[in-house]
Amino acid sequence: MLIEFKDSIRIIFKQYPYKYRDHAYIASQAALAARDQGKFWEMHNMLLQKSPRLDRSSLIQYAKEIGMDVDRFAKDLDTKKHKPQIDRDLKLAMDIDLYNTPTFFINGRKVVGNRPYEYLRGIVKEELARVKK
Amino acid sequence: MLKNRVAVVILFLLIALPATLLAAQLDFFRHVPTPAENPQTPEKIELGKKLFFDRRLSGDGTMSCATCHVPEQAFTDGLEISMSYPTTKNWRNTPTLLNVAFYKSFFFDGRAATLEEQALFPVMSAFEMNKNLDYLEEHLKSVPAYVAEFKKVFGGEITKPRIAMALAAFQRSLVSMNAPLDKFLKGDKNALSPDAKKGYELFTGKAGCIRCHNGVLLSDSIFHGLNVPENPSFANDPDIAATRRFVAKVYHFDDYKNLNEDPGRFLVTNNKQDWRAFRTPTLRNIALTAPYMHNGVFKTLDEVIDFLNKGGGEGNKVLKPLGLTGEEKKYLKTFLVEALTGETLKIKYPEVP
Amino acid sequence: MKLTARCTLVVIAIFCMASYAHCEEQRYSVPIEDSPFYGPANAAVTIIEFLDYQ
Repeated sequence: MLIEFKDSIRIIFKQYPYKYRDHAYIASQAALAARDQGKFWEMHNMLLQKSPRLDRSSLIQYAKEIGMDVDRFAKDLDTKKHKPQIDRDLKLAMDIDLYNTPTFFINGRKVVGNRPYEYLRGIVKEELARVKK
Repeated sequence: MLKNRVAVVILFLLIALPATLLAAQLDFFRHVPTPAENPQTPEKIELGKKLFFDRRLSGDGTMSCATCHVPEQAFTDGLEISMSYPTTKNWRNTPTLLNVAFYKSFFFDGRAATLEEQALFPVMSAFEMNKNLDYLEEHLKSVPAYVAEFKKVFGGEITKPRIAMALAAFQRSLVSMNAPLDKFLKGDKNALSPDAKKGYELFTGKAGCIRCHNGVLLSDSIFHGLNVPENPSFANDPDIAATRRFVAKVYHFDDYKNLNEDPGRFLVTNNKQDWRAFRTPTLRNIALTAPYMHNGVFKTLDEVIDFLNKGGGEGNKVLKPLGLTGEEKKYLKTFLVEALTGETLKIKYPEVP
Repeated sequence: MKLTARCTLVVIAIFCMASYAHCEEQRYSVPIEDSPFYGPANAAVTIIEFLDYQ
């Protein structure tokens, strides 16, 4: 989608690690820790690709693969450095009565659940047309 | 003696044939069927509405009935396969709840005969809301507002059947009337555009849709094995396969381990002719409830019409090719889109206690 | 690079006639804060995704 709509689209990622999945939270931490080292995108893609193998040692392996400072990464995970940010996202989700992932807000239009690409593409196109008006 | 029998048969045919033809009619809304055991009251409907929107009805507190039956999306979720309890996958499409009161059986496989019976299935289903019903009873009893409301509505304490009755009452209230078809059937010949009228003629005539899509709901509420293809998007999804095996196992299907298609009604009846048979869906509000079929395999009405026009899925014994021209398919679609959308229900979200 | 939008959370309901008649379209205003993002800040379409990696 980013390729197709290159300059006219921006995607923001909020963490919603589901409370009963064992590695969801640490995976969110990993994404944000990678961001601190300018590697968010790489880690994000890695996590999506490797899911559900997201235990601590796997995550450290992934960090190594994408060339991160692994010691710093592991320390961030272990000290839960990004907990406040994740918890803030979780609270935000609760405030807007959101419980399912993924949930998208496309220019504020709420889309719940995994959708076929065509479906999301349709909404993006509608929004582009609307903005142009 | 033989003559007599023949005479009886002929007499029977003379009476029965026109009767069956007559039965295959479309109808407008008259009264909403309501069981004597569960009369509608405004308080009961309101209680049912609160339960419908209450996330306590799911095991992990993340889902309510409205998670999949979204009021703004004609009480569907617009997905091919319904949303599911987190970490699991569902295997069938979310049906609309609009006008659900008029069905004579519930779920695509008809495993419930009444809305009261239907209401608790998704609540307890492992891949839907996954709430233990005995626990739910006690859980709701710890909410004073519910205790008081059940007392007021039912004159007693919170029980599973009463939870179901309240949910059924709310669902029964979701009637979307006054579609252009209703006005047309009541005699307003201008209620349909010329193209939609041509579609109506095809629907009730050449295309023969009315054989199954009849009555007020435009559904005969019974099951037909059209051999709708499995949804290729999910052919290799291990979680959906797990759900399929799980349901089949629960229904004592012998070869559940090797099952790779949805047996439909067969699971309920064990009757060979019900293999891959699903209940005829209502066509009311059909323009609002894509994607279509029990597994959401068709994204548009065009795809559905094409499927039926070519005589349904491979090897089915129910349908024959309809021989509709491109133009005729267009009229039929116009009828479906223009004539069958009822009035919008304004749902005021309740305050869940 | 860092975009901090500290908005109070307002859920704006815009009731408009959506193309698919039944929908009362609702738009939510979700604060972006300093969450990771990709794409230009002045993009015409902003997508906010809540996700779970597992």
